[in-house]
Amino acid sequence: MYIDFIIERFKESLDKEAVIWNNSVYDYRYLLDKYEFWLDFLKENTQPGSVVAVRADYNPDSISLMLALIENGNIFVPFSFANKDIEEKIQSAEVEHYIKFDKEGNFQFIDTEIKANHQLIEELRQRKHPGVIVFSSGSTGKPKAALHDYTHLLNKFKVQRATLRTVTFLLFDHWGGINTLLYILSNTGVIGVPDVRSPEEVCEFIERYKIELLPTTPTFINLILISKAYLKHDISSLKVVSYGTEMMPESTLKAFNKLFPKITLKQTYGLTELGVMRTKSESNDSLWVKVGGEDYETKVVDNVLFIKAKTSILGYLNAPSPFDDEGWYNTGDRVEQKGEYIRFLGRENDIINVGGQKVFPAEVESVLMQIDNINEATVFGKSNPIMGNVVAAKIILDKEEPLNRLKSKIRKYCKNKLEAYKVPVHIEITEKTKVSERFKKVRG
Amino acid sequence: MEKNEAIQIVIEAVKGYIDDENVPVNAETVLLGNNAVVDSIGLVNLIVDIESALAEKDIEVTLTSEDAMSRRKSPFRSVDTLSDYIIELSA
Repeated sequence: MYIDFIIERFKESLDKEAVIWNNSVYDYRYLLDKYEFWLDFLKENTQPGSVVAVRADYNPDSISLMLALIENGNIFVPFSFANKDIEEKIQSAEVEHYIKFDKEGNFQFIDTEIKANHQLIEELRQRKHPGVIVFSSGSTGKPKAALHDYTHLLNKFKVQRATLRTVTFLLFDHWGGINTLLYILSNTGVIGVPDVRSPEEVCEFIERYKIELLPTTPTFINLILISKAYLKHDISSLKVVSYGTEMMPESTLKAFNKLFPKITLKQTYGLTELGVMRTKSESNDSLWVKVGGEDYETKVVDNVLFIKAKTSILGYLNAPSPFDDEGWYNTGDRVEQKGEYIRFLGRENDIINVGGQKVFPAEVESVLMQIDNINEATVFGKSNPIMGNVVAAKIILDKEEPLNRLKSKIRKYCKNKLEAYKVPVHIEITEKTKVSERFKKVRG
Repeated sequence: MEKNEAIQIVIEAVKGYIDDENVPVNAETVLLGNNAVVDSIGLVNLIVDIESALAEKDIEVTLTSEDAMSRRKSPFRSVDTLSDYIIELSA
């Protein structure tokens, strides 16, 4: 009932290409079959309104399962293979059933014996709407479980629009990725999932499958430029490259535009709490952008962007509401204004943006300080020409230790505790911590 | 700097970063692309490690300059090409 309009469109497009995965092309007939399998499975094993987590990568199975979860009225919690804190997230999202795929595509159905009864979940159940819980990195570093009403998102896709053949290499738990996917499916477009997320592999994939839209990050554009993968593979089928999630260095934008003047560069702006907004860039090589659309209101207070959205989340399951009394959300993004256009300057706080991934110094510091012989660790971002920023740490030792040994000890210890991009790249041994006049740690 | 010395510095850094004795590292080892022994964040780490190893020898170079990025052929392709690039910069 929730996605009748999508399923209707599938039925009209049975022989059309839907998903390119693992060197094969799957059509809408295949997706529809899988969808029906999963819908039966969910009806048999879960109640509408129950919270179901899925750990997977994008493939025809997981994509159909995602649609079946909406239709069955479940609350969907996506996890990717990169998540290392799934146990904790299962608790904070009150996950009741857990469908755990391995990399070969086999799955286990696990009953967590948790009873989801959070007030916001109850509110959504009363609306009889399907939901999705995605994790947002808050300012304290503890991931916040943000609950969305799926119908808000679906309403956006009722109007049929044109799609481009799109490649996606975002992870399964990425909010922007879910948006892109639903957009493509609801317009029966083609979604390509490359095996490996490297510049070479993605460029080869673009050439082989005549991909037209590449949604990516400034870092990935940088990696394409550095690797010269575009010289080996013909990527001239591309019409649009969209980028978001981190600051775009002006030099990268201009270099890419010079190499590929025919490719439209499009900046996107999305926040887990609000949804993905439509944006319009002033020009192809400009960082000035109009943000919004009919469902959004924006205002700038003291150079910080505030947004009010119809599609915003019900709230967090494990943190206070991020909205003020009038429903405004403080994005924490500093901006400059020029008429209707804004330009992003960076984050208000300490978050380190490593190639589009957010790193909270506090989280890394707490891991570092568990290591033997480390007394104090201060983590900060250091600019890096490839990733935008990388993580750096100043360490105070208990007893003297050579830097090289410390470095390899830190890497070994962090390997199983932190995602690779969070592990400090630069390590410095210092005598004492810098403290501001307010007795706060000074980072950097 | 001698070519051998540069290759040795790069090999040491690669070995130190991947920390796996089963992976052979030599001048031919590929650092960029499909057969690379490191991923992109690994390459970033490696570049920083090599820069600090060079700094210990009082050679202050920045490997990720605009020049490196805009070359037709990336100097980060392999241990060998990266060693050549180090020699070129430190000359």
